[in-house]
Amino acid sequence: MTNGTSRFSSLPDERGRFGPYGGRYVPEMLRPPLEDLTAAYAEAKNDPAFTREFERLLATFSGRPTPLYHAERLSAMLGGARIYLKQEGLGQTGAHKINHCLGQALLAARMGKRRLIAETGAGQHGLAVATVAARFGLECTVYMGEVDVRRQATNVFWMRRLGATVVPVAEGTRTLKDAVNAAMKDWMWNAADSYFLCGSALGPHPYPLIVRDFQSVVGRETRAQILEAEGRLPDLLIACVGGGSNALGLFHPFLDDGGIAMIGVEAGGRGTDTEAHAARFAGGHVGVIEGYKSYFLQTPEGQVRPTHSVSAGLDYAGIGPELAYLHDAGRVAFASATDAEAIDAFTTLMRAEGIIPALESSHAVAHALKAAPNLPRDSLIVVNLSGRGDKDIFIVAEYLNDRDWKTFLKDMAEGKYRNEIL
Amino acid sequence: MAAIARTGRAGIMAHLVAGFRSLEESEALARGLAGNGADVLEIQIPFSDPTADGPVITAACTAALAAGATPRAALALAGRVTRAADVPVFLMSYYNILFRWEGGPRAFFAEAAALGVAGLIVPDLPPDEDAEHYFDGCRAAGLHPVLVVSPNITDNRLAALAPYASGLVYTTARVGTTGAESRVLDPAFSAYMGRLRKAFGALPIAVGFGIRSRAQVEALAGLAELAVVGTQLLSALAEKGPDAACAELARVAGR
Repeated sequence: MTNGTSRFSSLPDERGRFGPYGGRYVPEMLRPPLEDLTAAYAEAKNDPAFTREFERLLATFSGRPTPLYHAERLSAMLGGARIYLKQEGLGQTGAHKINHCLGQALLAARMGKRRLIAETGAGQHGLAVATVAARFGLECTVYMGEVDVRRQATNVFWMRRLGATVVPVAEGTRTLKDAVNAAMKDWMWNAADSYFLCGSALGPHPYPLIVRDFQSVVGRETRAQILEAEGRLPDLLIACVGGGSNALGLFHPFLDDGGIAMIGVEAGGRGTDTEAHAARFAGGHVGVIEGYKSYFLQTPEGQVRPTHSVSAGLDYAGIGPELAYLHDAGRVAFASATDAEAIDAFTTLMRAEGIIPALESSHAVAHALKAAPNLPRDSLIVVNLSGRGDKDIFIVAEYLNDRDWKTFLKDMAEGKYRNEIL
Repeated sequence: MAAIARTGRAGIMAHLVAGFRSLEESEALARGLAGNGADVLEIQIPFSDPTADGPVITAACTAALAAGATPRAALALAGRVTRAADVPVFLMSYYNILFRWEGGPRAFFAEAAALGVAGLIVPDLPPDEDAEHYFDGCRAAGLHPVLVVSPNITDNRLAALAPYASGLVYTTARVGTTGAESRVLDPAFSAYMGRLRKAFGALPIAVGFGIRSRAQVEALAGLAELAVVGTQLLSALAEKGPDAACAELARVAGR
């Protein structure tokens, strides 16, 4: 496979292209800051001191390596492949997002920036940005769609306590894509002193490259851990896909290995036969939006379509350009899981293993539940459990209509337990 | 354009969003603007994700789309305006609208040229990303592919872009998005305009983003051929209607 391999892992080219995808479709105004960033990153990447500091923070601040856990009860229950879970939810802030946030905060500090700008959907990226901003003593503004502010109130609460300014975005569909636009617009005004800390492997070059590189620690660790545990590489990798940061983080170090299947699981929402989903490979078309060329859910006229997912982190119309390329090349296959399947998987994993997965990651688990029973008992699956589910307490309670919890919230809001708590 | 240059004043490029608040109103507004001081019209095809625009134009795009405006309806509107108003009409939008046009960008160029459109302003398509041959295709169809630049550009980049310039060069008066007021009176801006002259020779220069007052337009005389007025007109339109937008233009233009 040496021959066919480098074509997968050697991208992007110097213009930020993954085959026909990616690039830098931005107004001239954003070109100088993107070029500065490209140069600063290339320099940092070649500086062993930068890598050492990144690895030190991953270990001592975030708690890496995260465990690769053999889910024995779940595997036995499904009666097929052996399932391993890469426990990204055990890192600082509870999701893989901290990886690219630590890397980019180091880069921002190295570039002399005093402020971080970010977008967030589920709030996991925003929370990680607010965290590294505090850690590095930087100012922080996080843009978040109005709808997501309501869906992920716990993360908004913590971002604000960490000192970040959270700006609810009332434009467009008031979700992640509008937050991306708002963050980029802030950067257009403030690139001189601010760093745009992009939250997924998308946007104009060099963001897809930078985010993927910092996330690939997930796959590198997994590789060493599965070799340690099983003495061989896995047969199947599964990850949920919003923009693609956790999926590429797991997949990228394995792209050049033959015989390893990879599946990205998109948000099927209320079903890909409805309008209410975020599965770009089930109804999306190639387009040029938010600075890059990739697949987007859009109308025939090229307007970005509203999307839906029970998980705010997957509720996005575009997908990172590297995954678009890997899709077309047939290297990564894509599936989707509906809201209902994700919630079922969430419950199943909790009851089988005592692990609360994020609703985003529950989409990956949902696919594992379908795939594992059809695979031989000696085959190995690794599921990227990209985050933990504490943040989803309100959504799950609403979805399952948990009356006790709602009564408690009402009482709390009315100050009923104030004397007992304080 | 040559006539403007001879007068020594900066002419006015008036910007409107097609279909905001309705297609009928946009048509009447375009004619009204042409009669109230606009030397050139810039009609924006509404897009769901206008990344270079500030809150006023972004909201106008969202409202126009909600009111049913489509790229095809916007193009037809531009055609009616070119027939009714005796000023050049440029279409502005974002690249995805052209990329997704039925038949591709070339089909769009042919239709726009046939309708008498003078050129296209697409800020998110730099020549480096021109996989679909936008710049060549535009020119071959008889349209000007207008370059959009900003004051933070380097001299090397200006030199690299110069061969692509056609019709006019659009520069933003500052970095940032459309809307908030710009300073065009300071020496740094004059020096920047000098760099543009050097790079683009005799091509007319339009200055946009944050042009809202008569004083700014007067300050641009001798520096630029066109001052682009957009957000100011849209605000007046949104609050008080097309007559107010025309009156606002007349005020800014000094008519």
